[in-house]
Order: sequence, then C-alpha cells, then structure tokens
Amino acid sequence: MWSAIRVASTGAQAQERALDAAAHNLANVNTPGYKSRRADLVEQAPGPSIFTMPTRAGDISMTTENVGQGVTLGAMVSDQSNGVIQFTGQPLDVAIVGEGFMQATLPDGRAAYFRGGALHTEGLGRLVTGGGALVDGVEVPPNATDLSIRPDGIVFGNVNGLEQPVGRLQLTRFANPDGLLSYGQSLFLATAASGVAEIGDPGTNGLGTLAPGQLEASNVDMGEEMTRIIQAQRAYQLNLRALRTIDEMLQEANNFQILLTGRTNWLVARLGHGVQIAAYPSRQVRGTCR
Amino acid sequence: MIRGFYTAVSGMLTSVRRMDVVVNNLANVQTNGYKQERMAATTFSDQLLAQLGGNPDGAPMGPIMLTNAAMPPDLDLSQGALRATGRALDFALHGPGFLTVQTETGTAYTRDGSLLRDPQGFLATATGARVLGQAGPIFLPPGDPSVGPDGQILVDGQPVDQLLLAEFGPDQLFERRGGNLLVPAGGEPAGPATTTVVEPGFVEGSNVDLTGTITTMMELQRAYEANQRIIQYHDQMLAHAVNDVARPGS
Repeated sequence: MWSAIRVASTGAQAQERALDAAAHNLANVNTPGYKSRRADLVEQAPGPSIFTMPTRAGDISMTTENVGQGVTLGAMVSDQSNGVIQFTGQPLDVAIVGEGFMQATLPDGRAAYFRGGALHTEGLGRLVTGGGALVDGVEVPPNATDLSIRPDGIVFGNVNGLEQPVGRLQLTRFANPDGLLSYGQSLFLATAASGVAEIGDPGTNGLGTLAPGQLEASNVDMGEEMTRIIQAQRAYQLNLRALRTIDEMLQEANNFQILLTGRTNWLVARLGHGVQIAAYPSRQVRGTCR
Repeated sequence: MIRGFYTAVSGMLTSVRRMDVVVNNLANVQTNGYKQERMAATTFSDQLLAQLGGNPDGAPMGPIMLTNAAMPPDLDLSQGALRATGRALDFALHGPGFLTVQTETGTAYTRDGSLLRDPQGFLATATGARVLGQAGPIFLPPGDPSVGPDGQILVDGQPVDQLLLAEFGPDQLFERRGGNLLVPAGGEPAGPATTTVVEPGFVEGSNVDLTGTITTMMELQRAYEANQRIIQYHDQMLAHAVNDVARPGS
C-alpha cells in the first residue's frame, strides 16, 4: 500500500500515548506524592516510502527515499518538582521535603520506593505503607506504641513506658527518577534506566528531610492536563483525517488502473527519479468511470 | 496525444510524494522541537518538439514541458512556539541555535530541549543522546538542576558546565536522524551560538503550520483526482481515434 498510511497511524498512536499520560495524571490528582508525567514524542528516522497500486498484472510500485516515517514515543518524562505539603496531624503521615524516596520491601522480597505517604502499623506492630509493603529500616518491637517520626528519619516508639529510638528511615536517590517503574500503590521499582540506588540519611548529601504529620500532594495541575487532553485529541483527529484523505486517494488510484485496461493495453511511463510505472492488463475490462 | 498520459501520471506521483511529507508533518504536530518539511513541485526540463513530416531532421516547433516532479524536501527551521512547563530539565531554545548531543554515530544537533538525567547521571535527550557542554557530556551531580539564559548549568546553585550551543549558516542543509536529531549535510562547520537564548522551564513545540498543512493536504487530494480525470479524458479521446476516425459510413 502506501507508507503514508502507516505514518498517519503512528501519529494517531502517539497521541493515544499522550492521552493515556494525561488521563493517568488526572486520575492521580489526589494521590499523595504522585508526580505528573507526560509523553515526550520523537520523530522516527526517515526511510523509503513505497507506493503500490494493485493491478491485474500484479502490483506496480514507486519508491521514494528519505521520507519521514512518523512519530513514536521517546520517553515518559516526569516532573519531579515538589507537590504542595499538606498538614494532616497524623503522626505516621510523612512527606519528603526535597529529593529522595523511602524504601519498602514487597511481599515477594523486592525493594520498592515511594515518596512518603500515610504509613500504618500492621497486626505485629510493624510499619507498613498504605498498600501493605514493609517499610525498611525500622524494626518495631511488638510491644512498642505511639510511634513517631523525626525529620532526620529516626523513629521513636514507646517501649514499656520508655520513649526510645526503634529505627531509622533512610532515603534513596536515583540518577534518573523518570526511569523508575511504577508498581502501583504509589510504589516504584528500580530499573536499569533509573540507575543505581544511592542511600543516605535524610538531610545529608543533598537528600530531602522528612516532614511528619504532613503529606505531599500530587503535583498534577488540572488545567494543564485538560489542555494536554484537548491538544492530544485534536492531533489524533488530524491524523485520522489524513488517513481518510489517503484512503480516498487510493480509491482514485484503483479507478485509474481499471480505466487503463479499456483499450490501451499498455502504458509504460518512465519518469526519471527512479520512477517506473508499468501496467500490462491481461483482460479487456470496462472500468467504472465516475 | 500519448504525452498527456505521462504528464497526468507524473502529476499524480508528485501528489503522492508530497502527501508523504505532509502526513509526516501532521504526525509530528506535537513533537517537541520538530521542524516541518516542505516539498514543492517542479517541472522537468523543457523538451524541444520537432516537426516530423517529410523532413528527417525535423523543423523545431518550440519547447514543451512534459512532466512534473517533486523537489527534495526543504526544512523549515523557523522558531516553534514555547510552552511553559515549569519542569527543571526543560530547556527551550530561542533563536537559531541547536543543542549539541553525542550519539553512537557522532555529534548531532537538536532543538528538543526536554531533557532528563540518564542512568549514569548525565544530561540526555528523551532517546538517550547525551547533551554536550563545553567540557564534553554534562554530568549532573545529585541536587536541584537549573539553567541560566546563557546556557550555564547549575546544580544547587553551583555552576557545573555550560551548554554547547551551535549555530549554522543560513543555507545549511540537514539530514534527519530520527529521535528529533539533525546532522548537518556538508557546509560550514557549526559555530558558537551568539544570538541563541536558553529559556528554562519551557519546551519548544513543533513548528508545523496546521492550517497550511491541512490546506496542502486537501489541495493534493484534489490535484490527484484532477489528474486521474485527465487520464480518463485522454483514454476517451484515444478511443475515438481508434474506433471512430475513418470508420466506413460515419
């Protein structure tokens, strides 16, 4: 057929990705610690474009070199800026002010990272995330009560009536936080793209500090997302319109080949630039001329 | 008579070629830093018609243009609109310059300033090409990055490096490499940027002119149809010539 069809469909697909990203952002407008993401599109390297017309004697085709091959998703880029910090007063709500992720262990043993949030104690008194993953760095004794978190990460608990430290939360930093894989429940997994995890105490080495009793709101800007949705939708429509136009042109091309079979049982046109058209219809067919 | 076929067919093929370019522009209407391509139609060189009745050398009758072809596409390097994002690693360029990046196949240039840190901590484009500073690829130590209008990169207020911005002569030709990268095709080597300003917190959108592109698309479709119709008329005329001229009793 014609590579323009594929090029237009890459355009429509890329806009779907942009729409997905905006919809995901909107769905997480109230998720604490969520960072807005957008789809960065990149053009594809040019290649040959092949235009083929079907005829009764087989396809005839024309190749053009160095035609743009459309667009593809380059990367999902996140905006790592801090969301607004909201005061909640819950002692186990914790926001990270600055850079870094807290670390938790998933039920299957893998390490997961999160931007703070509402923590809880589970049945055995251990500190867990909202989704139930064990928070690393804190070994809470079973009889400890009244857990509280300090800005430098030290967790205090009341053990046998005595206030004492029960562990220390640390922060992890990645070279490329955009490369983290979203696991769901506001948790992320490290990948090759995110780079090596660098662990340190809160407030040291450029890492952020912890803000107990507070939650970091999502940094999604609803107005911005609505604009993106409208833009993506319009761009999607445009690409579909291009598809329709191509379809109509191909229809014309189809009429064209039937016509040639009438009386002219030959047409060989050499038009320079490597263009070659050759049609050798085998039967006499009266075409449907409009 | 038969020549008309060729002219009409060449018109159709030119429309197809130009559609390829137009559709690619439309697909990239939301691509950061994309520069639209334009393709004009041109005629082949004139050919001299000669009269062939009795005179073997033929008396010249004057030139005729037989076919129509597509010109190689032209890159429109005009400025795209800047969109505010507020993101720390979005650097839009204002002016004629380019960011210099390092790829596996050598140095390339881009206007797409939506950057990120790669897994090793270097400043890179969405497709992973490292952005070059005055001292090679720019390594971003941990901390809050920012950039000044002159391309100075700071992390937590400490200068790290300065973006290597390049400007080219007005007639420079480029080759597209995909991933929003351009590579100069011959011409003068890149010079240092003198009039290009970096706008932090913005990205440069695609410079595709939507109205113009859609109009061209409609125009091409109609031109394609018109040429198809011309072939049809030629065919009918030929039918008369073959079947009706000198038919006994007509």
